Amino acid sequence: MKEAIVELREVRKSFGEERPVEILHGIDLRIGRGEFVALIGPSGSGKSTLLNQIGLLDRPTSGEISLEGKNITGLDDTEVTRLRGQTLGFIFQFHHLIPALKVAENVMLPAAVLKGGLDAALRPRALELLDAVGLKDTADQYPRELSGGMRQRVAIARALMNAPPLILADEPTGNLDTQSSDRVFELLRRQHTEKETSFLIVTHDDSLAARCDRVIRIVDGSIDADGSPSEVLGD
Amino acid sequence: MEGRTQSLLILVGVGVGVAAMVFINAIMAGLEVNLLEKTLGAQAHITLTAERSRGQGIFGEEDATYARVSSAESNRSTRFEGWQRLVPRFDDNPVFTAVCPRLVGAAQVRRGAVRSGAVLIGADAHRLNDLTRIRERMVAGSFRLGSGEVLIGDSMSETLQARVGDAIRIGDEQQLVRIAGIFDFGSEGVDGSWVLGSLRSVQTLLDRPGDISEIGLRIDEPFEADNVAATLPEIPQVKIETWTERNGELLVALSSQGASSLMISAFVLLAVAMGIASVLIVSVVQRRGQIGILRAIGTPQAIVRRVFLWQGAMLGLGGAMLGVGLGTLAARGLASVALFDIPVTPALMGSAAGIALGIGLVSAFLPARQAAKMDPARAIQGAG
Ligand SMILES: Nc1ncnc2c1ncn2[C@@H]1O[C@H](COP(=O)(O)OP(=O)(O)OP(=O)(O)O)[C@@H](O)[C@H]1O
Ligand SMILES: [Mg+2]
Repeated sequence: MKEAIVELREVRKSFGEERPVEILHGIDLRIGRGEFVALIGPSGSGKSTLLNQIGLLDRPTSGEISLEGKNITGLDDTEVTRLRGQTLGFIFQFHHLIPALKVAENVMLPAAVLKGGLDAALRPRALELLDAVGLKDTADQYPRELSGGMRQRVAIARALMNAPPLILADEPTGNLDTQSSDRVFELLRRQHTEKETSFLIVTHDDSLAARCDRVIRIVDGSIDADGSPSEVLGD
Repeated sequence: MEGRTQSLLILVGVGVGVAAMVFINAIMAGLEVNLLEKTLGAQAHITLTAERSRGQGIFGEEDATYARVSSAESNRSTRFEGWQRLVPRFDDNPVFTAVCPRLVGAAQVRRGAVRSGAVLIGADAHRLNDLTRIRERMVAGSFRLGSGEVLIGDSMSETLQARVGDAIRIGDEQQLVRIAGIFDFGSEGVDGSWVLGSLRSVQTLLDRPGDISEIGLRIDEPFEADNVAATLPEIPQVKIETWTERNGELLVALSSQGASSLMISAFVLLAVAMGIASVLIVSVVQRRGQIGILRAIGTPQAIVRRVFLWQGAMLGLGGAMLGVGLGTLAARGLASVALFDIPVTPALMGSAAGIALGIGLVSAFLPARQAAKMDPARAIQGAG
């Protein structure tokens, strides 16, 4: 079995102070380096909540999470923030590009944050990534000049900027039409084959999940099924 | 886009606030200078008055003060012993910009059937001018204190219906003097009662040969009068009094004026602060998604905080520049129609800008904290 990029042991998450409601009920999960995984499940089942725990955007109520073999329990906010910037790439349903920055600058942002400034030396890499998502010509435009699908591709380029070993995507195609959606998915797939980047993609779209290597279904905050697309989704 | 409109609006808001602050403070400063000038223009900053020693005279402990000089008795009050030796000593001290020995007494003036009470003041013309700048206040005739000549105020000239060159009668002896000039200090008390003559002629008129009643001193900084007076050595039977002691009401008025302008400024600044804070809070909420993403890609809380503090500081500073400009224009505009100068000093501009910058930072503090502490997971999902 491949080395784990992320590992969860008995992860529980509750929300609410006075009367906490448990949303994740003791999740055990292991994703190996270079895996391409879909996370599916009904609305409200806890997919985003789980992704946020793995992405260090939120902290579990109990249980342990290891990232690249490093246990993150007990790290303070500064360390977690740094680790997040170095190890993880994020793609969300909404691109959240910074409107005041040009497209290329938006792509450079994760590296700029690590380096502490928008360095011109980062630009070639940003252009390369924009080229990869088919948007090289938009480098000096502002996000508002782009279509929804194009913006989402910029967000993908941004997620790839630091070449993170793991990319977490929460419904990355949720807002796109079929054609754009296919294109975005192909991009993720290509990054995976070329760079061996691991992916965990939350999706409502079974046909998209079917094109992944492994599918995890979560129902009511527990893992209900975990296996190959045909095992989980049926034929 | 909306963000930009908001920023522009608040920038104008801050600008108007700062302008109001600059304008009010400039007016107050101008008024203060004007009032002080009116009050102090004709007055000595420090006055040394001959005082009868306790229990000596038949008039008991009554002070021969300026205000009571109109009582007939004071004309026969104590002599100012040794004033001739005192004057050169003050002359030699550079602290005093004017030293003027004067004889002051009450008298009746009369022209035809019209009578008026007057304060008769005799002094050397040069010294009197050093003390009161009276030469600049002349509105008719000339500044001259020859023998048999007097200067009167414009109010008195109206009362007596007397013009330059006319003769009036003074005192019990009804001595005839000629009006050489008419002054206007802009103060009714002075313009309606002062009759100025040479020291010698007033000594004759009041029948006090060789005597004076007081020495008036002027210094550079009027508000230092009390401190300077405190350093003067005690002189037997001489009372030392400063203008602040004589003008308690004016000082109270000035300080309450100062307090009210401070109060207005404080309220304006409070409004400015709340304006900036509310714009930033809205901006933090609107940009939740962006903040969330920035945090997700590894931006430390400190940087997020700084972004908003910076924004607050810029709003404050931008507004301050706009406000100082507007305020200065408004002050200039008013000064051109007002009767006094409204000074917008570099110090006022600087402090207005500094305060606005500070207010920007302070009002950005809470929104910046709110942005930095934002839970990135919720920020990203909550925003569309
Ligand atoms: N910050 C929070 N505070 C309170 N409850 C929350 C919070 N975040 C999520 N929940 C609750 O947890 C449950 C799971 O939410 P989650 O967003 O993980 O579901 P999901 O599987 O991603 O749903 P969807 O497919 O609609 O995105 C929901 O009932 C939601 O209301
Ligand atoms: Mg979700």
